[in-house]
Amino acid sequence: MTGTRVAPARATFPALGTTAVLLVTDEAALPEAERLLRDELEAVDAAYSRFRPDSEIMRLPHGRAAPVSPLLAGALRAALRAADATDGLVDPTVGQALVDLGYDRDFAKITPSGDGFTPKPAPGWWRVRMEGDSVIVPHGVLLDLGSTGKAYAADRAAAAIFEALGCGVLVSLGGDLATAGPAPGPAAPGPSGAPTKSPRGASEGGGRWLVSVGDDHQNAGPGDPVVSVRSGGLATSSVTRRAWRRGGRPVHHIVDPRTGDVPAAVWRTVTVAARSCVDANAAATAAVVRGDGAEAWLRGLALPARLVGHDGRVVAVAGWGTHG
Amino acid sequence: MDRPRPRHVDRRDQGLRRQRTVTQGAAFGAAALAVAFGWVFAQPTEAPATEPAGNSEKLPATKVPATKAPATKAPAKDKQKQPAAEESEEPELKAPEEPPAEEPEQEQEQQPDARSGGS
Repeated sequence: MTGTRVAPARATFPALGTTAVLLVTDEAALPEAERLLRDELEAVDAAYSRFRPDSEIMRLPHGRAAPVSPLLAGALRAALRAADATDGLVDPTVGQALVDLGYDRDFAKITPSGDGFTPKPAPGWWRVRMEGDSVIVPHGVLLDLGSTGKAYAADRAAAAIFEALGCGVLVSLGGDLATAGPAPGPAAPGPSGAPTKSPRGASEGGGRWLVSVGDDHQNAGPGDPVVSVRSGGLATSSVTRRAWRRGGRPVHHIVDPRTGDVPAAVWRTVTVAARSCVDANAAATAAVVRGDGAEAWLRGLALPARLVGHDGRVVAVAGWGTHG
Repeated sequence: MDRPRPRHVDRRDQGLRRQRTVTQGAAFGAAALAVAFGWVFAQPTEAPATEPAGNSEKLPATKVPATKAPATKAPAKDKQKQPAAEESEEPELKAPEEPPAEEPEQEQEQQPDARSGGS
């Protein structure tokens, strides 16, 4: 893990209501990579923003099959797959529950409300049907891809930039990270002199991305660890951000689909590493929702994770923080 | 000089009024029932995100609906049918090729490339 390591080139800009960070291992490729990322995020915003009445997802008809763009179809498939894989704990049909909680506009525009509300369970992800590139959204279902949507965009953008430019890429959208291509650092040369790559383009040499982990994706806290990541995705779900007051009590953006309310306060922040950013995000969000027993669930899936409880205790599972 | 009305005329009027009252009552009742049923069936059904415990054994056994009822619970994992495009994507969260390694103290002083946290 030691050795001279060349820091990647970086671009940062606001996008999707959060911060987009782009890192590439080839500084000359940064302008084109940034252009590709901005184009991708604009397309994502137009396809599945819940806060744009003209977005494709908000204009979907209910109760009948409607063709959708490949981008939205992919995002919906990723969301439904995440719901299936988490036993419905990460559910794209929580849109109305979020609205009932008061998250019906850009987070920056949310104001505290003393009005009470009665949480209602989400209608259920299995009611949304995908048939090829068509989707049937039942009546009364408001979709929200907020959980997996950004992660899917990060995975897509990182893969597209690597495909186009061939350099190592890290895309972070609000702290959900996707990587593609060789990580920065002294990669071992392959037979042809080029760094060897896995099928996903990850470096098999000594390259690594250095990522600090904590409650907040913008501000580091004291004692926040730094981990090295060679490939795949890393995502954090935390109830410390995007929190407000509703009905005289604190609420936040993570909803338990079983109740339509915020989950029991067990885990404050959960960070998960996975093969992709979507998988990492789904696991992290599901762990926050699951509460007690989330460590065992993550361990059973062999997903390395760091869980921080509301009482401050830190639990690392499935090899988090150590090399095997 | 007024002549008293024959009794049978009063009885006939009384019968007509009663009949009209009954007819109007029935009409109002039918209309109210129609509105009430319409309102009840217009309500969206709520469904839990996960199958309630023991729910699968409480289905009525006597009659099968003529048309397939909308789903009210998540399909069983092994029975769920997805279109061909989704069947290739396993509904399992995949572990990374290698877990994140915590950097030693001296490396921590190095500026990290990125940060993962709540947003």
